[in-house]
Amino acid sequence: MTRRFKNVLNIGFNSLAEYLHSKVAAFFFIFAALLIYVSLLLGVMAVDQEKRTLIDFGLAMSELSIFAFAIFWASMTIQKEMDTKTIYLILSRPVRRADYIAGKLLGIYLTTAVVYLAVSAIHLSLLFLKGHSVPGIYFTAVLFSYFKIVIISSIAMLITSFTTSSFSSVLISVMVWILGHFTSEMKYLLDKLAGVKLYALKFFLFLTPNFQLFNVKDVLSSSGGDFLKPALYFVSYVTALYFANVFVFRKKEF
Amino acid sequence: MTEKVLDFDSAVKVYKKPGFFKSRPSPALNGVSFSIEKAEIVGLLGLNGAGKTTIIKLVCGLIKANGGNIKIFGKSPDDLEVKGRIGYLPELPYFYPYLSPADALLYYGRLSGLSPETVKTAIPSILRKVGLEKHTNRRCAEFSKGMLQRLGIAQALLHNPEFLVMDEPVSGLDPIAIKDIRDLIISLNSEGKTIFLSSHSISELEKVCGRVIILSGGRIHSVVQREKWSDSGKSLEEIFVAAVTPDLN
Ligand SMILES: Nc1ncnc2c1ncn2[C@@H]1O[C@H](COP(=O)(O)OP(=O)(O)O)[C@@H](O)[C@H]1O
Ligand SMILES: [Mg+2]
Repeated sequence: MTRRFKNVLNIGFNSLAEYLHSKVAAFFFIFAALLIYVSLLLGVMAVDQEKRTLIDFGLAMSELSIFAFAIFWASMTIQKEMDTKTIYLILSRPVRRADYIAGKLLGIYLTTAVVYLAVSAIHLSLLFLKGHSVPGIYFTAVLFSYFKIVIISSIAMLITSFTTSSFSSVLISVMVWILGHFTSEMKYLLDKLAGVKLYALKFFLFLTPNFQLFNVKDVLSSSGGDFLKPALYFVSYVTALYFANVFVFRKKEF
Repeated sequence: MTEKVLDFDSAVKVYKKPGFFKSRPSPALNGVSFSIEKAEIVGLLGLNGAGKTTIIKLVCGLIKANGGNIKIFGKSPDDLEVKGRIGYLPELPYFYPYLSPADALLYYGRLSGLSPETVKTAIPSILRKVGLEKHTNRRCAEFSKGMLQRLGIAQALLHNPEFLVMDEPVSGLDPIAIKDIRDLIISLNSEGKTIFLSSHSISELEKVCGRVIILSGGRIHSVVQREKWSDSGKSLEEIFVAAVTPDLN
């Protein structure tokens, strides 16, 4: 293992440990459990559609709560290290800034993965308790939803780096999240309103992540289960975000 | 000729203060030149806001100079090999509250490029050196300011650096901690380590330094050799007050 790779792992796992020791962890689980409980109630009300409602709503609620947590954590993590000055103890050592960023991103990916696994475990146990079997597609749906979380948390970290405000970063991330779920509708609108001035808007739309690609039901129905495109999109988008994060962080002062 | 450890040549630092529309420039250092040679203990003396922390952050590569030239061991402060030869104690160091001192040292030691085994064998002696051997099983959350400062020194010494840079190592500590840290600085220096420390406490610098740089309003006012205050009747305090008084008017 190279020295640089060790640094990235070290910083990443330290970040995960920080989360597991924080009060946010407990608070978040109560929140997620509450949302899943709500979907359980809805399921009961839906009577004959109980299983479907329980699965669909549970998934949606898990994603929503993890999204809220991810942008919060991603917007805070570096800022917190700057406030407590633990970042001084890292960057005064032979650690490259690019590796520090990679470590911090890895930390968020690990943390959100752990949280997602835990929340899915709660959801799955509920389904089992209710005597429902779980379709295989469930796991693909969770994985794809996690891809979206990885993308949005990398975006949140990038925005914090150049606005230096956690609040605006959370706000902008929420906007990007919403826009990202309506990219085809936005594209349709822009095509109708064709005009030279719209190039800037089109470019902006091009930069916005297309979260619709990660809707597993759409992938199954429209392209007959071709998961390669969203996977490639995910890998290239996250790689680009890593370089953008490194670029913005390169000249930062503490 | 003796070996130069640190060399500042007309270093200029202007911070950008975020403003409403545009960031406003805020000058902190205005052409600072000095150098430090191997095995010296050099003090940086100045009032709050004089620019001490700014100089130290420049040395550690946490910020970049806007002008002039800074060399450490003849290289840029950004050089990773150079960073491996420096131990840095920030002002008021902080540690993750859930960690034990040993866990904190393990994390930072590994980031300094040491193997986990090397760090683990070094931990007991380092903790003894800084006087924390009785508190190895406690969490950093329970640590007093003085204990955090001691742990801060431990993390700076872990990789056995040749050059130790300490920002206000004794400010706000009790007399026992101050004496322990002073003795440690002197003993580290006798092992051949070069030490650069900042303080606004005249009496502290007077006791350990061979040379004191008086900083005032982002400029070096004067550099005073130990003989100046130990041999002549004039105390370092008199020299310092004379140096900063014109600025206060
Ligand atoms: N991040 C920063 N942004 C803007 N101004 C700063 C920043 N850090 C320090 N300064 C200013 O630079 C000057 C020197 O500060 P500093 O080096 O911290 O002084 P000292 O450590 O001697 O108390 C002060 O006027 C301070 O207000
Ligand atoms: Mg200071």
